[in-house]
Amino acid sequence: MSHRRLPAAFLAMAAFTAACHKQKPVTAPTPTTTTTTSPTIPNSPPAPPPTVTPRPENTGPSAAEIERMRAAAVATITATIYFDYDKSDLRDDARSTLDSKVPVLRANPAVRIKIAGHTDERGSAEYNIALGQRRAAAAQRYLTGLGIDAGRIEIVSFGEERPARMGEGEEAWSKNRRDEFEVTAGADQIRGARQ
Amino acid sequence: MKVFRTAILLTILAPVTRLTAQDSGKVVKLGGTYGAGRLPGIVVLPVPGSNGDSVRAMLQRDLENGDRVTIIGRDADGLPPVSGTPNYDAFAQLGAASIVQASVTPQGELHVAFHSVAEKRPVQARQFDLAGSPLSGEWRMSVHRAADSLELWATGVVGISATRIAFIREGKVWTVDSDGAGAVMVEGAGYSMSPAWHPSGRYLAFSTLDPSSITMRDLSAGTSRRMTPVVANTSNSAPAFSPDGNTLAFARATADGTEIYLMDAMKGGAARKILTGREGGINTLPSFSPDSRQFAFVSGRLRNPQVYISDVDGSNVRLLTDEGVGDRNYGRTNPSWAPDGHAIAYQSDNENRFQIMTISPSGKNITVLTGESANEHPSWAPDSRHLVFSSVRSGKEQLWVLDTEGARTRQLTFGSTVSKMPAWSPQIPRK
Repeated sequence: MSHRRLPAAFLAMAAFTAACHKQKPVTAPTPTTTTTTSPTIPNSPPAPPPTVTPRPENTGPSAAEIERMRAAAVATITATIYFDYDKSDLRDDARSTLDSKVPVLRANPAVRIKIAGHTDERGSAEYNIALGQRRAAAAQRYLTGLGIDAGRIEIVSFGEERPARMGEGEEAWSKNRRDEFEVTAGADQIRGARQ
Repeated sequence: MKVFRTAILLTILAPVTRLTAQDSGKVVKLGGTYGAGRLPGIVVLPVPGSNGDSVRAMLQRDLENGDRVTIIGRDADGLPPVSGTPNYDAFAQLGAASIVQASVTPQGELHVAFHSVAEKRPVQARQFDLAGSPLSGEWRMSVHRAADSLELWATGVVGISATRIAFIREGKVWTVDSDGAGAVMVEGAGYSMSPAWHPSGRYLAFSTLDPSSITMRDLSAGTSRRMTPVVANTSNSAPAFSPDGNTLAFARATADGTEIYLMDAMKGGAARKILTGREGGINTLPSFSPDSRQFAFVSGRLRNPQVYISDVDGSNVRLLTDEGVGDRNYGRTNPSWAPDGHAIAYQSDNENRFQIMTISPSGKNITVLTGESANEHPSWAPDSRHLVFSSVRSGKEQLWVLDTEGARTRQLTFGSTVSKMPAWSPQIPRK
């Protein structure tokens, strides 16, 4: 696994879904607040009331927390990865994104996914069907190499036919050279990596 | 937008030439101008009978689109009136070598007499059935067939007017007549790409996405048949028929790479993989030689996609287009082998824009055909002289026709909806 600095969002997801050793479920980061009142200081305004309901002990996560975890797990599974032009090699950021999917896929064995490979508009449209397939296959191979059963992953190619971003220039093109991930089975039962 | 300035200069100034390259690395620009005196003049007399004006307009436009004759007296003003025998001397003065004297009979047939001005007599006479209701697609195709006969009588070469161009518009397969009229959607199901004509003119193959397969449409019966099974993790694309009509080739992409496959075009059945080298790469876009024993194809086995030639069993593979000078990221792709075998057209990444080029199968004669804007997907007309391709030169991607001998271009499709991936049909058979 790469030790490079991960984007904050992925850090939050990784912290959230990684097989962790904490005793309690970890919620998404919230502003730090304590439940104790601040020490009384003459002429200081009264301490603000706590903004977080005290966490109940021994009753498990709330329905809202379960839904948050589920949504985060889905977001992790469906996070897009991007490629350099005319390449199907996985960049470091792509590998990190794929790494974060693994524990969620392990925790949800009923989930199946479809990986769709895409290209930017340059290059021959027919050649890009082949290149898109290659990009999807690269992500599939990486995930199966980390132990995910190949039977859970389907690959397709759309070549340049379904751009995420219209227009010319590297700004748009870089957003189109991508693999998209879609949950094709087991979506309603997805849980966070640990509940 | 990068502009190929040298090519434009030659296009304006140079006479029509085709130069032989000194070595395979030398690229030669095409130039050409039309002089009215270079092409034989032809007069189409006013056509009496129902829809005679439409017939005359179509015949004149078809003859002009062939780029082998010059129309004299297009508006009919100033033409010597003809009752019975033409005044050949008067027509000779106008520069006409031939006179077309046609009429639509009350029975709805097109009667044509073709006069030689030099011989001062009619040299051909023929009756053409005008099928279908007037001005319908079938009726127009009948008139185009007459124009193709006129072309043959005037120049010795059969015309290409009785043909259609298949293309893609918003993910659907369309066809349009060679003169740009009669655009109609052929297949509306799914998302389609890459139409390809069977040499009989009766079938169109194309690929679909999601699910991915090669489909073959019978244009006479109006039915479609899936030629490849829908298999997970497999994308099928870039179909092409062999000129002998027996084989359907296409590219199949799996997790292990993309290879060219062949199958029986008429009987269907299992496709067999043709290995043109080591597996794991991308090999796609087959285009057959005239004798159906070889195909040109695109491979990414070098740094960038290039055009190769292979025997149909995958042996004797050789590189046709060299890497050339400069960083051609998107390489050379989309080969189209001319029906007479003299050249393979393709698109080449020149200065970050695709341009249309041709190369002889030996690799020695290389010609740049376009230098402005971005141009892709060349497909030869049956005369091995005209090409249809897509271009964004008008602002939106549309289809254009190019005369490779004179460099004249004409726009084929118009409007704000993109038209792309053209394929020129053979002669359209009578229904």
